[in-house]
Amino acid sequence: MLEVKNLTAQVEGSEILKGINLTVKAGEIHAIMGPNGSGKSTLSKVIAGHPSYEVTGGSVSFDVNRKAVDLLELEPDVRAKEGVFLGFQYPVEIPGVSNVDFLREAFNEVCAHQGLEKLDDAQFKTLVREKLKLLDMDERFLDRDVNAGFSGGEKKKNEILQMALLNPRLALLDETDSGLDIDALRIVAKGVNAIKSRYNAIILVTHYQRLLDLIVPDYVHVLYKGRIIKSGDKSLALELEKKGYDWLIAEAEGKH
Amino acid sequence: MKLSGFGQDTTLTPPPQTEAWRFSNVTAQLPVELRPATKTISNADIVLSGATITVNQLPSGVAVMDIPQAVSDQFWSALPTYGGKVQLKVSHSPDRPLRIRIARDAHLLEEATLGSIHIEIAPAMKLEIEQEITGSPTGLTATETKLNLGSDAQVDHVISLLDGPEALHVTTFHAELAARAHLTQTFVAVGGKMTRMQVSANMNGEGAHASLASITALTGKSQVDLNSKLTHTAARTTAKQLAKNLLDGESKAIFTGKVYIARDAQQVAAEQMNRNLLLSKKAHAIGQPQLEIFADDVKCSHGSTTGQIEEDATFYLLSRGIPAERARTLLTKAFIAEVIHNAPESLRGFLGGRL
Repeated sequence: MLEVKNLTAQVEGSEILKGINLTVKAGEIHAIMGPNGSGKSTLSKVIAGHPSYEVTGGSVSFDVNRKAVDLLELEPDVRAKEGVFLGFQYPVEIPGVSNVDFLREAFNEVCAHQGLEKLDDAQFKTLVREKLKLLDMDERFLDRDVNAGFSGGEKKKNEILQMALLNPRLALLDETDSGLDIDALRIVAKGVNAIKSRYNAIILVTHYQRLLDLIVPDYVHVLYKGRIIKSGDKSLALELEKKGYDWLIAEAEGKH
Repeated sequence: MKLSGFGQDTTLTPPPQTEAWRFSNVTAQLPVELRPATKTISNADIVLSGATITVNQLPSGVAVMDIPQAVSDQFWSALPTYGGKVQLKVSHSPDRPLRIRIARDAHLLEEATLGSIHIEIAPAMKLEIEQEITGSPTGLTATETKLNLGSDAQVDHVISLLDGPEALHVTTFHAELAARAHLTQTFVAVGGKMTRMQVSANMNGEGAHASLASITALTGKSQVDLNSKLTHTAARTTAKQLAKNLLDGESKAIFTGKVYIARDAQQVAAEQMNRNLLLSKKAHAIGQPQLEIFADDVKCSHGSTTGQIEEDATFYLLSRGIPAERARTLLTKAFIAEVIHNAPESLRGFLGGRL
């Protein structure tokens, strides 16, 4: 469903991605790990279309109705409507916009684009309540302004709530585990696992094995200096947990 | 400047330009002669149009008073008093808002709407005011609205001001607050060619509180100059002011806000904030918050910020499927919402649809 080929990208003139190749199929969970500054967040932002990042080469194709389309040609809102979702590492606070209005607006935009019927206020509330339950969230979340004054854990739950509502085909979760205590982490993982199906795919950007104990990846990739230097199955994450990145970095630099 | 048709004909000499008016040279644009604008009919409780005040059905507890009024020798304070005048007394809390409408029907700059409205609120009474100043493509408007709150009185005042592209407008809102009186005043303004708003509140009795919030939305070459003064003469008084501007085109907004705290006014808390959101490259904002504090045990904060819609917030909305144009609208509404929330919920509907 997603095919990233030789992708290079820069921000403010410095090259962050130096040739990424990644293939993700429906039903798969991929974990992207790597030391700080390796380009993990950049990769997910580029796929979602953040305007601060400039793609300098390569391609990203995404299946829409079984046809590969060039994702880089689409505006960020169109990517979202086609089923790409970015769970933010730092969700943005928007005082003055209530969470429920924001959620309904996003939901209806995505539905309209996909040819699904919009829900009226009552129907939407029913749907949202169901999703809130999944994430152990209080209904009062709906009337609060988007992420304004939310704790770190509440913000991350709110991201997964949005994911649950928008039902994306490709979810990029950028350090969704950071800032979560163990209980919140369990709830978030439970939410993600409930949304997961054989029709969608998830890319988890993470530093820690503890998330991967709860959301078990099919593939683990190690990103270093803008390149994937190693790919493997879930045992690679366990090995990293024990040995750190140094051995891989030495191996990769030896090759160059 | 000659005034014809305002009761008695008279000639007033506009004042020379002073420092306090340096951004709004209204006097330079005044016509040689002023005539009252056409009278308009409206079913509001109090209607000011041209030089006429019409009192329709008032809410229960509100009555017209006849109190002699001193005429100021200061040009801008005197000018409104040549038009329609009314003084009201609120002796019981009415069961509905008092509706004031300043209706202007002017097609020439010479056509003026002048008037003065004074309202006295008896101790412990509650009043809600919906004041609407409706559009006119041009003409001069000079009005004052003064409130006098007795001890423990509570007033929630919402004001919507809509000026046409060639309109000149000088408007004064002033409030006196006795002990524990509580005032909220919320302005929504769409500015004309030049609007000068003078907003002031005097906290005269212990425990008095005023909360003022305003949003002006400007496009084209509109200019709004908001000049405010919050004066604390009694101890333990509090005031909050939020002045926001939403600026598009080549518009310009000026905010000059003074907080004055007298020597004996200890334990005062005052907050003043000016925020400008620029929607175009040629829009311009000037913020001048000023503090004059003579007491030593006070809590004061003030500031002024000017910026554009945040890229991160826009991207967040885009990444959820909300199109760019809609994202911009939502973020602009969010900027306005904080001001609207200064008004009690029951009066927000009056303001909500104005922008």
